Amino acid sequence: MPAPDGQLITAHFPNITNISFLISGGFKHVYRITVGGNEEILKVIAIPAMQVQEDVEAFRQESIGRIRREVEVIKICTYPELVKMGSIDLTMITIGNEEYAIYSEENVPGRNLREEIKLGGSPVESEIKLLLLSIVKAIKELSDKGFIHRDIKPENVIKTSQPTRPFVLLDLGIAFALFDTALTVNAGNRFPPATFRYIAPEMLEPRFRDNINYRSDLYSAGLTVFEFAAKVHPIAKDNDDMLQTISRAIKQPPIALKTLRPDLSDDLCSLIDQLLKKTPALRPANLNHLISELGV
Amino acid sequence: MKLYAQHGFQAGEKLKLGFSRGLIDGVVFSPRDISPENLKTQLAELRKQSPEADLLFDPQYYACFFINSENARLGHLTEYEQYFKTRRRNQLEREKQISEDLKASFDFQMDLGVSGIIAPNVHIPRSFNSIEAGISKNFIRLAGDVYKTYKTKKPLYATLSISRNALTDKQELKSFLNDITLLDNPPDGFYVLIAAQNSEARFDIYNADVIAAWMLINYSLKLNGFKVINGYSDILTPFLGIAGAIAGSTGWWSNLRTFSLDRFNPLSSGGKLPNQRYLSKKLLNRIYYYELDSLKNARISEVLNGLPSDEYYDNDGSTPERNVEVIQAWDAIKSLNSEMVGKNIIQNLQNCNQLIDNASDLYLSIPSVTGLQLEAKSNKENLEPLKEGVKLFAELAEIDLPKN
Repeated sequence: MPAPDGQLITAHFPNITNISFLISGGFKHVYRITVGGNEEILKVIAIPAMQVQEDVEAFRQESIGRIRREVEVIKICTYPELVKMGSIDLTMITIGNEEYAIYSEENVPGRNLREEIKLGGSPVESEIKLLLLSIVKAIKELSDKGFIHRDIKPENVIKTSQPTRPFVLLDLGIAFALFDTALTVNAGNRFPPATFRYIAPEMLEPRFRDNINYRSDLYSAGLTVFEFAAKVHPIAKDNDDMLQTISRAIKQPPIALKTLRPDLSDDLCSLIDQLLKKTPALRPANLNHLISELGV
Repeated sequence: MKLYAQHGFQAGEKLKLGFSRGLIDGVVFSPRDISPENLKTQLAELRKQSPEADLLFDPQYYACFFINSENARLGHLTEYEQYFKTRRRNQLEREKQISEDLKASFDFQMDLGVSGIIAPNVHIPRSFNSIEAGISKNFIRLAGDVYKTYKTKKPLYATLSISRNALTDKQELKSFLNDITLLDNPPDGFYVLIAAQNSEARFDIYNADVIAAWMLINYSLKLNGFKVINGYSDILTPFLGIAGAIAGSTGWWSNLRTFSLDRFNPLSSGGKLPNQRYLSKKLLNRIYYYELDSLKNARISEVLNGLPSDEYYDNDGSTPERNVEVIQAWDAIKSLNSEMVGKNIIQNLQNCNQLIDNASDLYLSIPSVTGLQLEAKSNKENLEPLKEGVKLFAELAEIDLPKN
């Protein structure tokens, strides 16, 4: 679906003084905007048209529900390790025949970890610990408020140059509410929404919703930190198709971090390796303990 | 790793002797086997003798369903009426009742001067997918909630009492572990009991699946920051230490070496005093005293531990005094703990395998040298489940052991 023209968007928001398109993915389009002299990130999500068919209408409701949830989570989270709302609250607009949900987030300055990984190099131990600590803190806040992020991956973590928030976790678009009604339509017949290279194995079980908890986020955090440290994904291969990727997530043991980064301490390597265990109960999940252990 | 005495009937001077010889680090008291008055006296005396000792009290709440059984063998337990009362299962499906029972047990233990508090719990008899497992989870979850109202720094251990039969379904076990390691107000640790059908059913516990699952429980709890104390772990103590336990326990009767609720059930037949046995580190097993004598006479001295307690078995063929049997066992297990439990789990598991192989070789040499046919309890049948158990544990724990 093509991204709507920026000028058509700003017609609905006169306080936006500048807009430039950044990226599109699926139904979501992202713009950089200036509001009141500050740069923010504008999220524009296309809503599938209302349909007569019941299943398509349900899908439309699922999309709207997810956007509402994303905004709700961003608003209630206060930790600096999680992205914050911008000045534009969730608004539904129509451009031409298309309906869009629009809101803005703060513009977190820096590069995402995918870009950092592509740059190569070997981050030092203290930086790797700081990354893990930041993500664990974000997971803790989300979990305390009853949510699982479900999409932690290098693309969704920004490395900033700010000492008070060195890494910031973005994109709560598929956050899972532990104590709320499930949003996914026809969930029994679909894989859960996720990025399969970073999905925890238990999320691929048919009844994963019965047992899901933040250990799934810890697994994805472990993968993200491993990849940042070693520049290699410990399980997935670049040319694999989706089923191969899923199969590896379920069956293939990860590479031990120490084999790729022998310079890192045994304690840090074994902690990251332990987060990648297939069995959730084998992942250390005492978040307060982890935070104090990682305290840099 | 620490070794505790599993207290039971006829403690006599065994505990004091264990402490004075530096063989035990603590005691887990059994209210079934001591009156409340004597318990307080014992605790005070032991505290005076060994100020650093870990003195704990197992409330044995898991026996509460037996109160109305005719001829139930509850001993002094019914005298602990401050917390030990008749309970029906459906009563315990109410969280309020669980919280009240936890509080009653905590109040009682707070006055005892114990080093830590063991929270009461029910027993999981068959499966983790059962009402009792749900009740047990509630006891564990609520223990921390209730305990935080007390102004104390004493550690809290939640009881986890599980039938060996429940351990056969590994998926259910993993799911249960997943739940009990994510708590809002977690206890400091767990007091883990794995129950056999009866305390003489040796292969209920010496079973690869059970050993592996018991080790996995310790491993998962340790990874999640809990301190794990195992009750009735006897020779498996160092194996559980490798998996992450801080302590294991054993006592002087067979029903203090293997946990079973049968202990609280009516006696099915008359009992007799068992023959004394010697715990050989090299065999990873106990052998009868007269078997030890024959082996010594045949100059198979490897079966001896070379520890101070060997003096009791010193040579003229006379049977040692009965109360030293447990001293010898504590000495041997303590020594195994220090030899087997190191920092690197992969090395420890490899070392385990080597010790089991060595034991197997030693067993093979016995008949060829002496012609001695060891009794069923003394033979090497425990070694295969041990070896398989260690291997299965490594698989379950996703630990990649190097192939030999």
